Amino acid sequence: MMAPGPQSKLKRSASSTAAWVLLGALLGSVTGFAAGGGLSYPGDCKSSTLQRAASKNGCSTHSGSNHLTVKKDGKVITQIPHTVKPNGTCREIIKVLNTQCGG
Amino acid sequence: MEDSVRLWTLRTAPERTLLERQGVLRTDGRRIPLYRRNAYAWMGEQLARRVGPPPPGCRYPLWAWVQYGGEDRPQPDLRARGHCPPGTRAVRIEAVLPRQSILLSDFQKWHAVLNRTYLAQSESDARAFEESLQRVGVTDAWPYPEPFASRVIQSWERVFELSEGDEAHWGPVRERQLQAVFWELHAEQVRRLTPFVAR
Repeated sequence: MMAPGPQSKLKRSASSTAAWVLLGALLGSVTGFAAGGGLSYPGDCKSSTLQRAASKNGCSTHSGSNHLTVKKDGKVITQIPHTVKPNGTCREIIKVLNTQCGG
Repeated sequence: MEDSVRLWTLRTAPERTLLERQGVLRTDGRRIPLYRRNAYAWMGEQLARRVGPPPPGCRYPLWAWVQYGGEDRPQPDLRARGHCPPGTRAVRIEAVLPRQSILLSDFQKWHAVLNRTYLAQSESDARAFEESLQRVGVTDAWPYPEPFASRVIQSWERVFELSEGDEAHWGPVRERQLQAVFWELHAEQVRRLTPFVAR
């Protein structure tokens, strides 16, 4: 059996890189996003991170019982639970903060 | 399922006085902020439909924790912030209510109702909903046009699915935060009072 030449090595390396890029894209599409703003899901599902983002670009936070209310231009845009977990609730809140407060 | 449920409701000192004087506590909803009224009314309708109608003059339910920090830490932690405005003199009321008088729901999922968003079962369900909006050029924000508005409202019923849903999307079942709503609390249902000053 012949050892693979430089060209086939290159080919294998290119196809392996492409596979990793594709795998990364697929994993990204399944587990996270950072659409249109700085926050990403689920990595940024922390109370302090969401609060910081909710205080930018005209957005402001107001305490209200078990939730933190986020307002912009006098309107409530979302409500964040005091206990933030990396779940579907955080995912939806991040979408709003990225769109309305720039993440 | 047990016949009774232990729960904890956090009330201000005047509400405690009212409970002790009248022997029963209800809410008329006057102090509910306008932006939460629709969500609270929705929960009231669910309570009426699933448990029973409210007493006369009562439209909004009372709220309590059943699992504040999951199965291992059911009581609300009084050192935590946000229970009441800072400095408020309040009380943690521990009570036992008949199972058939309360409606349990998932506190984290409840935010879909509060925020008027689609309550997805899983990441793939969330993406499928977003893609269906994108296909017809509809913005992903309330108010949604039909048929999306109905899909969103229908999805809220999943707040009552306590041990279901994708754990990758909603977290382990034993760590989920559970809340209860009910129409009234009677003094004889109270087991313990713990006064505190809110942080």
